[in-house]
Amino acid sequence: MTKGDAIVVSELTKKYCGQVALNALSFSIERGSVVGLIGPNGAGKSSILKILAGIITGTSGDVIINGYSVAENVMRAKQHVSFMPESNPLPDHLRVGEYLRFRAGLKGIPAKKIRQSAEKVMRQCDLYYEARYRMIKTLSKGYRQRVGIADAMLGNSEIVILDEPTIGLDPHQIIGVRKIIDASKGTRTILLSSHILSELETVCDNFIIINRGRIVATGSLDELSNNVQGKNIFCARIGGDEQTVEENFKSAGVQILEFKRSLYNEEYVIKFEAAEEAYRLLLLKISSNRELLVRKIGHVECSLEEIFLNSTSRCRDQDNADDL
Amino acid sequence: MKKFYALLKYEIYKLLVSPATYIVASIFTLSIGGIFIFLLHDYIKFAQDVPLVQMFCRCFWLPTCMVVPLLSMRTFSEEYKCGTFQNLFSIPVTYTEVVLAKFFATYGMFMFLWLCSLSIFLAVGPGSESIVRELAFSSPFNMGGGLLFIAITGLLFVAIGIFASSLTENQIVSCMVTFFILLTMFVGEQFFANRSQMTNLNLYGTYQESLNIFSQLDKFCNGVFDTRIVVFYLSTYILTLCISTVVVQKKLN
Repeated sequence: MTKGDAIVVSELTKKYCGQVALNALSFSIERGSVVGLIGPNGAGKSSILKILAGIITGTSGDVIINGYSVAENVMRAKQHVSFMPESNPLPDHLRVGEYLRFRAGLKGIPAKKIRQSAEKVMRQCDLYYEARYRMIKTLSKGYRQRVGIADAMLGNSEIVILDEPTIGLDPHQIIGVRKIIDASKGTRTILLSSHILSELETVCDNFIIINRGRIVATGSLDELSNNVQGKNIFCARIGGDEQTVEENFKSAGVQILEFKRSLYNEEYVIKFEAAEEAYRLLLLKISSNRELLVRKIGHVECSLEEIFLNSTSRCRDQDNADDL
Repeated sequence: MKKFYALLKYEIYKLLVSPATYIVASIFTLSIGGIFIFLLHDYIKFAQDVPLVQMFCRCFWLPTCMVVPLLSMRTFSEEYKCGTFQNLFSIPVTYTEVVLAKFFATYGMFMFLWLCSLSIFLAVGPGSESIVRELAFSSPFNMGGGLLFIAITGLLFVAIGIFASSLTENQIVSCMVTFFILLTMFVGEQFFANRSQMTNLNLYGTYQESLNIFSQLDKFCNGVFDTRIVVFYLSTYILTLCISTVVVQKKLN
């Protein structure tokens, strides 16, 4: 654990009636970062989040929240965490303002500041003017989600855990949630899980991919991309004569993996593997050649979806091999 | 303690805004009113050894059996079903605080209903016949003793309701379990006592009288404050709440 870590999970295991849901997970989350937790259904995402929030306990291992062990001092640890559970259950019989004031009281906000804090989060989440006095049972799915997020943002919790915060929201509302998360970047550590990978890709600094209760990949998008594609895999979009393009690549000593013609732009899309030196030489050659028009060249950009599918299928193949 | 009060306030508020509470209060008032009128008629026709107030208190089992299951069934069952339980425990509150807040809110409502039931005696006002007024107001100490007994036993009865609610997310099941346990405590004990008298089998030995709720009530109504009874109900009430806390903890994990 370093001083900059807000959450440290070590060897965390959770079993439900003997069935292993989380298998000796270890990871840490830097203070002030936004981290996305990704995994297929039943991978154990909600279990991790509930353990981090102190709602359930792990079977073995430990979780340290801002220096407090959840196993040893759950109350202290909980004071640093706000949690919005999946499907965001809310009491239907209360008004939005009442509910948030009640939650503020429970979160230990001084009585004089309860109203002020509740109003602040209602303004942040666009609830103040339209939904403040409305009964929760009359709210649409989008508004309910906003109430859940407002609740999570209430108080001075340094760590905010959101389980599927954008589920069921329309694009405008998703942008609204993204703005709230962006506004908290740097000041709060945010851990969120979602199945909308493009959404996570936009807001998160780092990712943790889990499958069948185990971590299969962790890191930033670039790091994960490098892990999946290999560090020396590049892609180029070049216009010009096919033979000239191919000759330049071969003479630089790079290995062409894929060479295809793009019909619309009259250019060639080349995926290649190259060492550092060979890549530099190639750059020199193609930039000095007047017959070639370099439109784009660089590392292969891998989407989070590709990384996710690759990591989870690799894990499944490995599991199947182990079973055999 | 601050969080406990916040939880208690929330639970009381939940009870007050729920239409079910007002339906329960109406059922309670109707049953109390029915019992009072029935007893009053009986007392006017035939002279009785036991004061009217004491007899009225003896009938406490009927409203209790109806009201406690209905008031307590929603406490945990509803939270389990709606999933708001997770929300509740995501903040730094202990299981004990949650169980106690739910208990005291329900118990408070139960006792509030009983105190309100006293107003039925006010109905026997100056315009009533003197015999009726005499019957109603002749023994205020019996009434005090009876209410004290209801307050002490109510701790256990409501704790049983909370325990039943902590077991299941189905409110009907919770209600039925509480009703069955309470009925067994009131009627079952009486049934076995009668059986043992009929068959000359001494099932309870020297504890028979101590365990009989109605003979305990008579003691309190007659001004005998039996500490054994108080200790028995307080200890079983604490034990029931402890078990409920463990059940809630297990349910969450």
